[in-house]
Amino acid sequence: MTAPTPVVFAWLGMAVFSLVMYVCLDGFDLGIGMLLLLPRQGTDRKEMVEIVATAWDANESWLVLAGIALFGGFPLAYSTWLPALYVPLVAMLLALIVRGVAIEYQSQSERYDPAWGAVFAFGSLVAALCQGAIAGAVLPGIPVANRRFAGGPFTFAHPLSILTAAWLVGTYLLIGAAWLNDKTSGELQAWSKRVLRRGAAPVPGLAAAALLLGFVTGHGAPHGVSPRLSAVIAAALASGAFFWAGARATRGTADSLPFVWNELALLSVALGFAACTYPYLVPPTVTFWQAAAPATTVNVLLIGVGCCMPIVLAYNAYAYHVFRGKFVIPLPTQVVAMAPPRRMRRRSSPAATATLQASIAGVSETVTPLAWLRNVGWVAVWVVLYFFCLGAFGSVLGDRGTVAGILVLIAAMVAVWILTDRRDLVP
Amino acid sequence: MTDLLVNVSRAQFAATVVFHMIFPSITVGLSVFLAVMYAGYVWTGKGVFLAIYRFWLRIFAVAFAIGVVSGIVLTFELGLNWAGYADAVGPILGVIISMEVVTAFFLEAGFLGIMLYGEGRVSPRVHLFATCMVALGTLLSATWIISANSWMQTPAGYTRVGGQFQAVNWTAAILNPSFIYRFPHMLLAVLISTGFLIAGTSAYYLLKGIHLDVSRRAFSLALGAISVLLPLQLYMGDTLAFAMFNFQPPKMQAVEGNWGSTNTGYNVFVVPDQAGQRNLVQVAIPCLGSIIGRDLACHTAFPGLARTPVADQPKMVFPFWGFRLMFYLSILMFAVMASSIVLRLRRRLYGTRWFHRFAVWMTPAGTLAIIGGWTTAETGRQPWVAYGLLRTVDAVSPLSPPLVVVTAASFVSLYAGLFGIFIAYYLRTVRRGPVDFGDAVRIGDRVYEPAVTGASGGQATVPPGDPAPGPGKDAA
Repeated sequence: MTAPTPVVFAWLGMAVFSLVMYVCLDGFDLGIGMLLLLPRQGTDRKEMVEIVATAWDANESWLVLAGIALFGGFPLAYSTWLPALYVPLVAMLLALIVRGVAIEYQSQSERYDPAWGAVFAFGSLVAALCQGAIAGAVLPGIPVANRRFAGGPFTFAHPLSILTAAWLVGTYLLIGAAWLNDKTSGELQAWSKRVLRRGAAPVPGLAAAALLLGFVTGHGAPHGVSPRLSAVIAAALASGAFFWAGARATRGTADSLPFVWNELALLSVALGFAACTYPYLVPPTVTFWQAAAPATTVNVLLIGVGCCMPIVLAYNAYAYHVFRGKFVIPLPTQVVAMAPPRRMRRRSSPAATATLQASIAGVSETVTPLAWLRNVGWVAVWVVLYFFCLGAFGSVLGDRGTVAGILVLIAAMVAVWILTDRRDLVP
Repeated sequence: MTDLLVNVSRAQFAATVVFHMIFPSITVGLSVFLAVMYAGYVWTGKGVFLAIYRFWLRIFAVAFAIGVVSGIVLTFELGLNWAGYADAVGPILGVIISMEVVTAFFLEAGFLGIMLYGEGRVSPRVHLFATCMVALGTLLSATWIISANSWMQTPAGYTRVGGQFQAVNWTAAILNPSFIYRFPHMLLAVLISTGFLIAGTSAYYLLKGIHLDVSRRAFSLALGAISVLLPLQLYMGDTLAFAMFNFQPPKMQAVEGNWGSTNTGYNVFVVPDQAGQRNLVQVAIPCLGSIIGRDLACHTAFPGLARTPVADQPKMVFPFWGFRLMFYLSILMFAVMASSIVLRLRRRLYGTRWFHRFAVWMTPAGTLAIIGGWTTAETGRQPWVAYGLLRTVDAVSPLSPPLVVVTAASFVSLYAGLFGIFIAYYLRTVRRGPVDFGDAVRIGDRVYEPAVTGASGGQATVPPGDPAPGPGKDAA
């Protein structure tokens, strides 16, 4: 492809959208994970894990979509980016594994388990560092020869990737603290407000430095430096303003505002980075339309994924809606008003139940050789019948006979199952 | 150097995919089972269904999480380790897997939070809906993934432009020839393997004589489902094997374990010597091969692997033993199922200790058989990654081999640890056992959630101020 078609452009938008959704949503749960590295008491830590537990799985789906959007829509980018980013990506995947597993084990345990807490916290830190490094590793360029990555395992290591790693960790911490501010109350909320205010100074500095370095090393904007420079400056200023607004909003009464401001700050820095590389998807030479899959593929992707996306967004929003407001641990025995079950009226008499129980419990354990032989005989009869129905002697019945035999067999199985259950199980 | 790179890349992918497969093999079926149990609870208000649901939810939550995170690894490995593959097949398989993500992955992940943590926050009916959506998501996910893998087994509906594949007919590509056979086979397999997990766990309680209400119900349900599904599965597996003879002759030649084409027997034990193109040890049951080939007169011999050029041969040992693992386990599973029917009819299903012990030993049988089957499917396709079109050697990423050795070792050691922890968690959860519930109680037009049975005598939880449910007044 020599020029971007609207469809390819739209699909690039879809890929960027899912990446932004991932960074914004998983950002807060990675941030909360890293906040566990700071000293807090066990009940607070348990609460922080429970807040993450309801959402982390849905949030990570966006990462998968972003990856697959590249795989399907921009296979050349997928097949050169990933080998180039092998070290940070594998480290990130390992970290995401231990972290996700730690959340579920922690959540299944009655009280706070410090070991799984540490795994969760360090896993979150490593994942955030790697994601930051990945963001900074693409901008300076990926050496490509003959449609394949042509660099070494540590080509990704670059001053920019170190800077972006630090920036992303800081940003995730702020977003995590902002989510806690929205979800918790009391001492934990006051603490998260303090974190938000203290982070508001260094993080915008890191963001501005990373954007500047990204501008210097990036390869974007073939039409001259000035539009790119103005975009980067605008992104730096906007993010600074949003971070500041986020810190200021902690003094207000609207608990969700700091989260919104910090997300906007993250978004503006991300767009600034995009401006540093646009339109190159595999800098310094491959543009996004050169990396795109054939038109048939991108069309189908856009229609298929595009049609599903409103539904996906709707039920994701519903899931967040269910867990809206301040976090409360549900009481162990909560009363729910159920619709009246229709079959609750049917009850057997206690006498009948007792008879059934006795008949099951009273089965003799001793098996005489004769009884044993008789049982084996029954099994043998059954096996022959079974294979007859399956058409193992197919020449007798033919293909239609086999299908009929399977249907008869299944009907018989269901009948035996239901009839014996009605006879043996206490209703 | 390339050989080493291909081998460690394959080893890493094999290790990560086998570890991943353990978890879907129980969570797909468990999600369906949990949806049925919760529906039973909402429908009848019986505490036994709630007890089963809550108990298996504890195992499901962790197994599902491990399945998800280990599945994410696989998605990325397609590009990390198999750049040539990603670049060539991305325009076709990228679409199929994208559809998996938006129709299935999101669905299960989106409703999982409500399923695991939503009780008390949403009504039982909404909770049931979320549970059903998770089950639907896992089933759809399996459908798309089998479609993508089947395209690699039997590519269809494509044209090749340069190095890349492009779709010319999406229906043909998605519903490719082997998908029609492999999808029902896999679907039945995951349901059956979950059945054995549940039956084995319930049998443990029957042996111990504890939690009898819960374990009898679950035992009967699991064995009942197995006895309905296993006939279909044997038929599907047999049909698939014969279809594979046409789709991929080398795979089935390797599965049968012959080099020459004169053996009318069925090989039960083979130690192949790939370099010498012969078997070092070969034990066969005379005539059985011919009988399986529907020739009772013992004249039909299966073709041997020597018919395939050496450069296109898979390594016989993996497809042969993968298939044998699945096949031998299916015989044992059949024994469990046939015995269960006879015991059921003779009213001894809940009182026969040898059978319960047998069922406990068979707990992992389904999962092991699935791993055996996938080993056959994937190693038997070699040396191709897209059968007949793209060689594995051309698909591998140009990475430095020591790096891949390091990451492969990291994955293997991490997964070994996680597997051990999961088994320990499963055993601990089983030892703690389900929490028994009384039945839901109805007073007037309100129904109250069952209480934990024990000191309170199975009374429902009734908020202060409401009339207490007296004996005999419950259930209206």
